Formats: sequence, C-alpha cells, structure tokens
Amino acid sequence: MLRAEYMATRSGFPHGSTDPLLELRRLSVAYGRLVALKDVDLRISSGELVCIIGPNGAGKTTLLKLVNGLLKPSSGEILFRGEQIESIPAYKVARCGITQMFQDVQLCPTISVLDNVMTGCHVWTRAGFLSTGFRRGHAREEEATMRASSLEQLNALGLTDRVTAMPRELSWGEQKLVGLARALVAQPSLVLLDEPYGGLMQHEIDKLSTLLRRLTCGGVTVLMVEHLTDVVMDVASKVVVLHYGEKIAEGEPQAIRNDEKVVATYLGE
Amino acid sequence: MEFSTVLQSLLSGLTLGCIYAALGLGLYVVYGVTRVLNLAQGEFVMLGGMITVSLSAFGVPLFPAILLAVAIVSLTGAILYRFIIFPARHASGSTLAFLTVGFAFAVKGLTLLVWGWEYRTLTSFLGSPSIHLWGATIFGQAPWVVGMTILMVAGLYYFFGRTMLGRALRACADEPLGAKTIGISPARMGLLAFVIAAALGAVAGATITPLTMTAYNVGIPLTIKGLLAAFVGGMHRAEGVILGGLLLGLTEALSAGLMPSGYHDAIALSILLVVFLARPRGLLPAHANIED
Repeated sequence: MLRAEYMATRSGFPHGSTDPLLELRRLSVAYGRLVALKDVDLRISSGELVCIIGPNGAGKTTLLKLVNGLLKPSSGEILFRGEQIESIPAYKVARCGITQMFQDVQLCPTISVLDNVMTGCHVWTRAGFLSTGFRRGHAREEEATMRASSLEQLNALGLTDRVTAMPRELSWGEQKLVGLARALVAQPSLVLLDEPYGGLMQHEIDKLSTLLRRLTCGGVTVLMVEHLTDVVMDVASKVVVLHYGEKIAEGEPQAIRNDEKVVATYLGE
Repeated sequence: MEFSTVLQSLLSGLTLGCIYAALGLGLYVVYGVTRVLNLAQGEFVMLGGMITVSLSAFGVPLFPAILLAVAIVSLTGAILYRFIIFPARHASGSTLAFLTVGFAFAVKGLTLLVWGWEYRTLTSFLGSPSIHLWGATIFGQAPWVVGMTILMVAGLYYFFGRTMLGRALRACADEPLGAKTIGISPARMGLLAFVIAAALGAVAGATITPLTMTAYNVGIPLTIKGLLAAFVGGMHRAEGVILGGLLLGLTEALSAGLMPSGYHDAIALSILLVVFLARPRGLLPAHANIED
C-alpha cells in the first residue's frame, strides 16, 4: 500500500479536522501505591505545539507513554480524533497516526540511517512475507516509495550526506534528528517527543526549534516533554505544568512564566 | 597421521559444521527477535526429515516433498509460537525455554506414535555419487549440505538486510519499544521468526537425513549441537553462529580422527568449554550499541 492510500485509510479513523485532536479525560495511572498521574485533563488542537514541563518524577514521560499505548491508564480516557485509544496496543496507536521519538532515540544499531528511517514506514506495508521475499511487483513498488519518502525526510532534516552511515557513527544531535525523521516519515498527525533537546549543542537546539516550528506550520501537532525552560517558552504554543502527577497549570508560555504557583514549585525566581 | 586421514577429517568436519551452523541459525533467528531460547529447534529438523522421508515413500518427488515438509513444519512453528509462547510472553526467559522443551517432548512422543522408533533415511539427492579425492571420500550428500547452509546464510542476509520485513524484524529485535511506536507488531514479528526458524529446520532436516538418518529421538541431541554452535560463536550474530558451527564440526571430526571414537564428543566439548571460559559472550559478541 502506498503512502497516499495509507493516509486515506488510516485505521478507519475519521478524517478532516477534528477538534480537539487529542483529549485526555481524568487520566490516572499508578505504579502499585505510587500515583504517577492523577486526574489529568488536557485538550490539544491540530497544529499546536504543547510542552509538558515539571520536575523529575512529575509524570511527564508517563503521560507520553499513556498516549502512545506503552502504558495503560488505571482510569480515565484518551481520545484521538474523538475515538478512544487508551486500550489499544502501541503498534496500533502508531497506525492511527501517533508516533514518538524517545529520550534515548532507540535507533536500531545494526542497520543504516536510511534503513532506520525506512522502518518508520512500516505502517504502510501491506506486502506479505512471500511477496517481500521474492520482491514481487507491488512489494518492490512499496519499498521504492518508502525509500523515496525516507530520503526526502532525511533531506528535509539536513541529513542527506548521512544516509549510509550507521547510527554509531553519528553525533548525538544527528541521532536525534534521525529519530525525528523516523517518527515523521509516516506523516503522523501527532508526534510525541520525549526531551528532544536533551544533550544538544546550541546550534542543534536552534535547528530543532526551527524544524518544530516548520512542522506545526505544516499542520502536524507536537506534544513534547522538555526540561529546557527557555526553549519551551520560545517554541511552545501551550505549556502544561505537572507536579507530582497533577496538572497545576496550563496556558500560553508567558502566562505560565508569570504563574505564581508554577514559579514557586518549578521555575523559581 | 596420513594426509588422506587429515583431509577426510577436514571434509567431514566441514559437513558437520554446516549441519550445526544450520541448526544454530534457526536458534539465532528466534532468539534474535523474541529473546526466546527455542529448545524445540531440533524437533523441527527431525520433523522435516521424517515428513520428507514419508512423502518420498508415498511417491512424491523429492523437491515437492521437501516443500511440503517445509510448509507442515512451518505450521508447527506457528503453533508453538501462537499457542505456547505468545500466551506466556510475559514470563521469564527460562520459563519460555522450558515451555519449548515441553513442546519438544510432545513432538517427540507424537512422532514415536506416528512413525515408530525405526531410523529412516533418504538416498542422496538426485543420486549424487560419492567423490574420491586424494584418498578421502566426499559423500554424495555432503555438497548438498554445504550448499544448503550457504543458501540459508545468503537467504537470511538478503531477507534481514534488503527487505522491509527483514528490517522490521531487526528493529523489533534491537529496540522492541521503539519498534512498537512505529507500528511494528511484536506478536507478528515473533510469529514470523518462529515460522522462519521452523522452515530453516525443515530444510536442514530433509538435507541431512541422507547423511545422518533420522528418527523420533534425534531432535534433542541436534538442539544441543545447535545451541553449542550458537553459544560458542555468539548468539547475537549470524556470522558468530556459522563460525561456532564450523568450529564445533571441525573439532569433532579432527578429534575423531586422532582419538578413539568414544572420546570425540568429550574432546570437542572440552575444547569448546575452553572457548567459553576465554570468551563467555561468544567468539563474535553482539554489535556495540550506539551509546557504547
């Protein structure tokens, strides 16, 4: 199945603009007695860049894992384009149009940069084992489309000269960009980014901010966990503050910066 | 020792090594993708041989018989994964390995019921005659065994390196969490790994039967040899498994040439034990991770 066909049939979810794109309703999760998230409500519209901030242990990464299906909530609902997704497995969540870049990127170390990005196209594949193995017509066509899309994505992220490199040959910043390319190549509606700026040099931070702005201008929605407050205030359209699993504030960056409760618990003077 | 004896040992060792490498490759595919030590791999080999022998006896031509055997054994692999491994997928590695042992005993028992205890064999493929070379003898089936192993290795390299499904399997093996979040189903990949391993086992079983014969009870000893090959070479890399298999085969054959036949297993295993002690992660350990 080619990309266009995939986009048109993605998991039977309604298409066109649905507002909000993602909605969390009274979402809670506990690890044994430890409550990691408690009754979190959140609405994210298409094209927003929402940053979740908060101290370590606030439940930020847990929230991302709930959205992408790696964790199941103890209670509450997650709606994507109006459909409940909290009980479906992670690989099916990806097929709905939600992809993620992990904090530690998690590239496959034994295949090249291009091959890593091509694995991001897996949601399009319809060719079976035998047609793939014997490279029958439609399997060949499918693979050619994936290769072209992956090269296009790598080119857009400035990695054209690194396509044949192995992940271990890349700098940390380049690995993050490859992870981002892999998350974007399937043309998701929502991208989850877990500390994408972690460990980057200043010029890489600037480059990533430009990329994220360009993405959201193109209609992609981004939900991001990040510690670098200055960057968050610069790129985010909305900031959500978590503290010990509870949402203590939500709003535009400037409002959050001036919120007394947020300043007292997280931002400081 | 005469030159012809050494040559004979080397040729036998190469053939044995290819058999062990083929066994190890099945274990490698399953372990690589699912991290399950499939101790029923030898049963796939045994079944491949038994089914091919029976179909041939019914007058089915050899190569269609092998294809049918591969299909039936692949289905057995799918059953092992879908009904035994998948429901217990959250259990520990040792529990899953024990489950495969249980499956191996079940297959062994059923095979005894269906085929009885007799050893069975096939004639060399296409009636290939033995070749005499400088005083050594190459059995007619030996080149088929070597060719099968080369084809298996080439096929696996092609599949894992050049196809989308192969890349997805590798992604699932290396970074299972990351793979899930890009839409790769671990259950589908696990099923595929077991089916591929079973198919490899069936081809190996059919190919080695003219040389080694087959019976209901050959599965577990074959699994042990495959495991040794994989452990010695390094379970995480196909090259390691092949190297381990060849080393094991050559060690066995050369020690059999030098010592009374009763000692050759002990000698081979002692040498392999030394390799283990010197390089506990195998001769060719896993590729370095990115963060290393």
